[in-house]
Amino acid sequence: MDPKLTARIDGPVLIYEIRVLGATDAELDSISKAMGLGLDVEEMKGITEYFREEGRNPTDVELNSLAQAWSEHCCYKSSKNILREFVFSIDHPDVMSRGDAGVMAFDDDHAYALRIESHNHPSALDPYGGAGTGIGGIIRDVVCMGATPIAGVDPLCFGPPDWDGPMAKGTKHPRYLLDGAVGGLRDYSNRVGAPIVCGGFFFDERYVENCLANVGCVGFLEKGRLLNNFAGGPGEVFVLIGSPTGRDGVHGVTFASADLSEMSDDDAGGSVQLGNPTLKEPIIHACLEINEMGLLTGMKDLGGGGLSCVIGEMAYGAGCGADFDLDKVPVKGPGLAPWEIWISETQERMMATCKPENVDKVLAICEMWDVPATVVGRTTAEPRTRLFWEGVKIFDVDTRFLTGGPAYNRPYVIPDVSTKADEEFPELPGHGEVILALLSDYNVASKEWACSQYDSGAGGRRVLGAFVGPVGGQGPGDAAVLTPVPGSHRGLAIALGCNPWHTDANPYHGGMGAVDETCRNLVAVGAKPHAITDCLNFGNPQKPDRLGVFREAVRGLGEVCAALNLPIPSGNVSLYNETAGCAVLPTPMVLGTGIIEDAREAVSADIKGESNLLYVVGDTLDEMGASLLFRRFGGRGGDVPGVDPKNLKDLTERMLDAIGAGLVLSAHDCSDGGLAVAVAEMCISGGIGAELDLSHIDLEMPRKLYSESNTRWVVEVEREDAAAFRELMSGRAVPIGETGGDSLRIPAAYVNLGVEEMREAWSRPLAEAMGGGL
Amino acid sequence: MAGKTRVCVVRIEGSSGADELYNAFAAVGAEAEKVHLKQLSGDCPAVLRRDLGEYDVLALPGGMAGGNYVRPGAIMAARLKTQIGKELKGFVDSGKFVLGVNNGFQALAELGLLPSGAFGKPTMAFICNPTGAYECRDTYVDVLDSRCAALSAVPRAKCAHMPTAQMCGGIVFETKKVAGRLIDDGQIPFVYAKPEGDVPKELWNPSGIPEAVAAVCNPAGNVLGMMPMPQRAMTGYSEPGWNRKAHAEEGLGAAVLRSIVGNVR
Repeated sequence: MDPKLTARIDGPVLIYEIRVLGATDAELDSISKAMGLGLDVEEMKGITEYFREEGRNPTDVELNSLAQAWSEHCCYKSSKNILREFVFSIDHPDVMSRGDAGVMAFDDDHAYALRIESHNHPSALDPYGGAGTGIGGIIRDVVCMGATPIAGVDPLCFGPPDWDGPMAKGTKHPRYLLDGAVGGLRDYSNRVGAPIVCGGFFFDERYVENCLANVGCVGFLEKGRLLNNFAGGPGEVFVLIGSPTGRDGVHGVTFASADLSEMSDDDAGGSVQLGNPTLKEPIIHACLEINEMGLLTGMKDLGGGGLSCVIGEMAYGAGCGADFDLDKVPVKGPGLAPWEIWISETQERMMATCKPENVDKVLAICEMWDVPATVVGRTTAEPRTRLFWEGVKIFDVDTRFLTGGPAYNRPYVIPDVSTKADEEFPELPGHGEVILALLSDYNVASKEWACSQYDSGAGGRRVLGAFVGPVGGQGPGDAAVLTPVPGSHRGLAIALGCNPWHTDANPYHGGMGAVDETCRNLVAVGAKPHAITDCLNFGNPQKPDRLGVFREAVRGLGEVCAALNLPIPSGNVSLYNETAGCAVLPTPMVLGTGIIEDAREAVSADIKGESNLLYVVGDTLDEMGASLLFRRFGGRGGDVPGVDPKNLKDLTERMLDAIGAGLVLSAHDCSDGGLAVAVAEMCISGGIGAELDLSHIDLEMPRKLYSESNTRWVVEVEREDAAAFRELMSGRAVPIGETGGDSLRIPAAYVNLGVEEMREAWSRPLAEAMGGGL
Repeated sequence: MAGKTRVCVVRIEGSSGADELYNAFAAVGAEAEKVHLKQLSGDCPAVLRRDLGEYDVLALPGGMAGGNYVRPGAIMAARLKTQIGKELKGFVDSGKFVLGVNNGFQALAELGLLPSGAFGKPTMAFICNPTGAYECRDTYVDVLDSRCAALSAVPRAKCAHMPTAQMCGGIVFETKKVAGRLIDDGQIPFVYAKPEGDVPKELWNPSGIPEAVAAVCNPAGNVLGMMPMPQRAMTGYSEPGWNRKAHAEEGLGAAVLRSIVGNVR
């Protein structure tokens, strides 16, 4: 940029005036680019207009601060109008907070916090650090509600680990990325004692150049300890708790609000943060202890945008302003410019507000835990955010303007969807071979390689984990179940749901299906769905076809939640997941929670005994679009499974009634690979076979076996309970066979597969691809 | 002496297992307290000061104290030795009970308190799991007769569920003969047991030695280190597959902690 556009301001520290007043459009654009602001010309003009009214040019600190606040990552400028239309309106009496994490009532005395977010761009460059700081960040979101983290969740979307195809320049191989991400999650979560209790892997070539590392966390608290993420009012003190600030993580949010390119590694500079779980662990204790003592008015984690976002938001939430002493912020080393300190996303930092009389007590508790804590500012009555360096004012912006940011109704086009009319059914080998192929697909195969590296039992609350069945013969479960209150059997179930391929082929149906799958997983263990949180990973919103996909998926997701009155008290949107014009698979990742009155009644997916009856609850329809079968064997088109929310509500209630009445021995969600894979998985985890007769389903055999229709469960029922079960299900339970033997037999499809043969096919692929496994 | 058994669960940064161990001791009726090491060493405000001698049990929790960046347990051991070494030695010499679970066991070995009881002279070490990876596994144990009198009320169970989770569960003694001798001498209260089903030896026996040592006590029986975690086996619902068979409401872990709480005074 033209040197005439900047001028050094005399004072105690190096800051610059940026001469936006009177600058041409081209000059404004060059300022944005040269300073790495990520703002377009219209946005630069909006900021210029503000400073025209102030009668002066902004400082570099102010301009950088606004660029953070106005980034897609911080202000959701492309998505918030769409979210407002479809998801924000769902209310529920159990919602206690919609803060940095959502908070839901659990029982009379306790509540839980939930949130999921993305750490996609950092994980594409440095998977170990990116995924580790991802889990670190989401833990802070939960802690700043006053909650103890009790569960982590790690949905990861990567290219196939044995990928042999082309990769854009600068892209790192999926095997390297996956290994690093799992390692980063392991070393961070294990060191802070936050158990990763469930996860999901999604493998596809469209994740090769844009991997997704989503991280979720559930926390638990006494209701009376719920914290706001903003100050209580003017005259309070800001205490910065945790790590000194460094140059690591400068420009993280503007980096996350643009497409990745081959230059990203260089551009990112310090955009990937450095995690320090051994500092985080005592920070969690210190923050919770301070809150326990009732010393705080508010707490907020320093994540995207660093101090620049936190101070304004904590003041704005209280309807006040802030005076902040930037020179008081402890730094990792000399030489940091004021703007760098202000926007750095250095990890392991929390901001607390308290009354002046409590400051010493807050500092003493931090001292006890050897956690650095520093008084850095105070809230003021005047709604301005002002920064000082050695007493000299270097920043003075209206707090509302600082924290606001634009909201756009960007143009979109509704995407074409896959239909039956253009279906091409693939040629298939024998069904036995097909079932083994589907079981060994990376998207179905055992994730034990990763899960066994996570300290998933930490906290000692687990009743059901990611795997079910006896040790030495386990298979996949549906939802984790924890008992968070010592001595109580009330259970909290946690599950994921997402089908990126369905979403790609029909975004509206995919959005609906993500909620449906989450509910199915919760209901399968006997938990009543209670709330969801979502991480919406999509492409560049400035491209109308990408935004259309986003809009349709959000519409589907919101409609199902509204019909079920399932609140979404928190969420995250990650856009710009694309490289060189190629967008990621649209991925609306849903994390759901459910409540089970008595966790000792929880149901698991493993077949429990011989000669019991098997049913599929729900309708198996001709919906082959984007199915695992089609992806694996080259089918095209086809209807994509939709959801009838009334049906989901009805069957959810019937299933929970049946489980509550003790009629259900095992239950498993029917999803990727359809009925065939669901039953095979139940055989694997139960170590018991089954014989299927699918004559009550009115479709051709391959469609019966592999259709991925939503709102279905496979259920095992004892013979003597069959009549009662069928009556409760009122004709919605279709008999499909019975359990027994050591193989899965489907005579009409010429299938006879040994349980051990299926276990081999399911358990080996990922461990072998990742070079581990015994 | 009247009153409940007082348990001091020590915490330093990274000892993330303190809460679960505290909850488990509280559940079996102990008067448990989470105490930062600085409260024992006196590096704290006077009101927070705690005297180790006032407790009946010292419990070193699992987790990754100090991040486990040097050797497992090394940082916790070094802090204990330099900050409350004398008090700790006195506590052990007076016959009071010390339990180290997981990372806490590793610290007791590093301190030399296990297996020989020679404070400051370590004679066993932990190395990486036989698989070379962090392993969170549902392991099983046999309960053996031992010198650990505090465990006298624990049923002599066979193949009872008690999970492990660690990077370094491999055990190395000074010679290959030591493990067998410790079993003969009653210093091994628990050994790993193979569960039913197809479980590779490296997974059911992370100790990596044929004797499958899962826990060690000192010759006096008042210092006990365990890799399997009793606080995660408190109920019959912590074992995978619990809903496949008849099971007790309580797990072996509860029996272990209750026996300790009931027998140390």
